[in-house]
Amino acid sequence: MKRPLTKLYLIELRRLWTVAAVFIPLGLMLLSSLILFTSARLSKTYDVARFAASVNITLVVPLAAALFGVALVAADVKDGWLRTLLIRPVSRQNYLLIKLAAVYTSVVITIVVAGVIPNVIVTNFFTKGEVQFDLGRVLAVHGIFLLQAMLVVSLLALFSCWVPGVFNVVLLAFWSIVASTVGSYIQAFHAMDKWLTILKDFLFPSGFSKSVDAINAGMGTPIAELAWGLGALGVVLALTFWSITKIQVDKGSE
Amino acid sequence: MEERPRAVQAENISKTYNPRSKNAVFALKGVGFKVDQGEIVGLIGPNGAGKSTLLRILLGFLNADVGGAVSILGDHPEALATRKQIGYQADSHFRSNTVSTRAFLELHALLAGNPAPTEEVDGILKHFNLTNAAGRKLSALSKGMRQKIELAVAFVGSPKVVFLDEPTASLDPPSVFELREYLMQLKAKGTTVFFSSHNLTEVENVCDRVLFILDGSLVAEHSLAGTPQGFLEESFRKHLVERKGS
Repeated sequence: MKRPLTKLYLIELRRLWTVAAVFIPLGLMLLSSLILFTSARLSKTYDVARFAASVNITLVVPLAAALFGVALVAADVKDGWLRTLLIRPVSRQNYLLIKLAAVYTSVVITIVVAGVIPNVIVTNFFTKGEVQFDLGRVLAVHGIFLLQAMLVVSLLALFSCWVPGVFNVVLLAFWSIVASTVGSYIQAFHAMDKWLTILKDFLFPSGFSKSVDAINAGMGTPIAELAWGLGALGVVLALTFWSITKIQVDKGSE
Repeated sequence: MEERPRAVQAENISKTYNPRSKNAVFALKGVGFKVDQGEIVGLIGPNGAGKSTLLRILLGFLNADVGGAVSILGDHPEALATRKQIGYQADSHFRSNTVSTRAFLELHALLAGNPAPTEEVDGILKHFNLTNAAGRKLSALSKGMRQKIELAVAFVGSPKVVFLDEPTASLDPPSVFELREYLMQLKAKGTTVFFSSHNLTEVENVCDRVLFILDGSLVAEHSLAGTPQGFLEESFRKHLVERKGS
């Protein structure tokens, strides 16, 4: 079954990389280059890991995941692709695994093109002040970007099992905005309430982005934040693999 | 001697769309039938009678209401062992502007268990007159060609049981004749074919048996051995009149 699944993976990748999709990393590359270039010209010191975080966590990872993960499963139900696969001895779990792998690969390619390459170019050619380059920190935050990308793709897959079309992206964006707003409200008006401040950190699975913040703030290895991120990733993946078994192939979700 | 499992067995299959709504639709009501291995069985009925719903439930793509049971070759339709032995042509066509005809068929042949699918795919492309379409993307093909590709997909991997949903829809007459011949070849090899169709002449020409479905219920079952040409049309009309009468 190894070769058929490899072929399926390649076809899934090919289905994602339409002519229009090629512009996703290129467009994001332009945007992140502009942000990094401006930052490099305006800052006295250019911290490579910190700027990598600002570009990847807030821009490249969520946008690339949203663009490649839109209607991740729902589109396959709608256009009959899932049905055409499941008539073969392909389990739903294998289908989902291949699908996640293809979307994840596309997001990682986009991170390299739009998040890493512009940073390397700006660091080497356009910085005005001192460059801070801590290899360990740079590698650590980039490793966490990959985990964050996996989390966002998994969340989009989970939602796509239950809501039609682009609503998986809408739902994720809505959740993220609401969590951020409620978090800001708690921070501003209930900062002394111990339980509410703890709750604030768990409104959205943001363990990985908090880990990056902690690493860049020089707070050592953020064990608790990483555990929260990995735990959330595990739960989301488990829910996604359970949800795929509940899909009615010809009629959406039950 | 050990009894061979039925190719298809359905017991008490019901399906209600929007069951909790005032507008609940009772698409299937207690449908049950058996298809033996090597048989070609047709499923006929007017539009909205429940043919496609029944096919989708048989294949495990749609959940039936609680209480029914389906087995294919003695096993659950979604079991991977079952999937290795079945083929399906859907009534709607998969379209893609990135996947070519050859890549699509090769994927299916690989998934069906053929480790070197090129030869099989070449043969199928030739048989369905699709050789010129091999390199073209699926979305660039005409409706008739896409129908042929869906049919080709159903036969990839030499399945033991083939489900066809309106196989002659969108096909030109020569392709219908070729399909008929192909089905007869499959029957000679012992393949079971279960297909829904509006084309009564075609059903009469290829099927051993026919099931009539009306308003979600199986109302009759006829063996077609020795029946005169036009029997199905007459019988169909009779059932429709009976329905109107009731």
